[in-house]
Amino acid sequence: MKNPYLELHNEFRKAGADVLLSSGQACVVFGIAAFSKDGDWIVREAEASCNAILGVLRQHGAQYRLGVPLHPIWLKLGLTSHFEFLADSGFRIRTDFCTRPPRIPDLERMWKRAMRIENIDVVDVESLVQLKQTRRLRDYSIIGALAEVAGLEGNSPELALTYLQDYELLSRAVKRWPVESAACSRRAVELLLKNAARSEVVSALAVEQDDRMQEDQRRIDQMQSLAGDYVRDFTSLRTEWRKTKVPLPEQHRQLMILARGILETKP
Amino acid sequence: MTDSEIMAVSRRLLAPYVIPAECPYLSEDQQELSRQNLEGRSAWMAEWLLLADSAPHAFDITT
Repeated sequence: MKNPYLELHNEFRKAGADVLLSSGQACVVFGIAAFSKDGDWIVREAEASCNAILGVLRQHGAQYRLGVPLHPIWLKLGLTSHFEFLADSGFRIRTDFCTRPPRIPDLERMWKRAMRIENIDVVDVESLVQLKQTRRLRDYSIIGALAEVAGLEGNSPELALTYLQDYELLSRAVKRWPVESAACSRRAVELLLKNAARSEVVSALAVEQDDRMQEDQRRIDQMQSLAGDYVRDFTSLRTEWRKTKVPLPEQHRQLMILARGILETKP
Repeated sequence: MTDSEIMAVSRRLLAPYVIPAECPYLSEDQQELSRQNLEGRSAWMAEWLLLADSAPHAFDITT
């Protein structure tokens, strides 16, 4: 049996969509997570890619979940589209799409560095680490793990020094790469170079993590402020869709109309 | 990091590799997973999905 999300990824590709696996499924592909409950993709911000994905999802009988229409007009605001369906295998499949993932400083560079092998297209490790700097505490274990296997074990000082999340491994990285550490502006690294007390380094790591989590929360709050009555209206619409079994293309058409309000309230 | 450096690091993780036994972040399951090739990792994920779907709280989108 195969990972249904990887099979779906291939269907998107065959339909002509330019997509990259990201977040949880990228962690599965990179071998540091055994499981992810949904599939996240970064989509090229073009109607052709969005339409190709919609075509595949229509064939699976997918329904929209709360989110914006899968169209560049909304996706370029940093908003996301969500769907779900029951696969032939009986798996409940949930899919999330964006074109402008948070915290990625240079989108074109991310596309250029994407890994494209064996029918898999996946974001690079550094982009994955940046994506994972979310408001969820558990994501920082993933960041630490990526920094260990790709940075410390993979002999990449920048990844190790910038993203390791615990005292022991970070102090080992600082000892191993003193020159790179001296050039690193991370507070915990600076403290280790000054032989500061362990408690100070641990505090610096905790504060840094909390800063990242708060940043992500502020980003989400800002996105939600765009929504207005959209959540309530979407829920009503979805109830109607379920009653009358509205197919995805019609759901998409209706959602495009509903989501115009978001465009009017954008900052 | 240069693009080629980050791509090389990423490529290495797509092939089987070993997570150190003392890794503070990852479980034994994940250590075993990292030793698999992509096909093995795909099968592993499918197995986990089966377990998750058989859980009593599994969500049914048809209702």
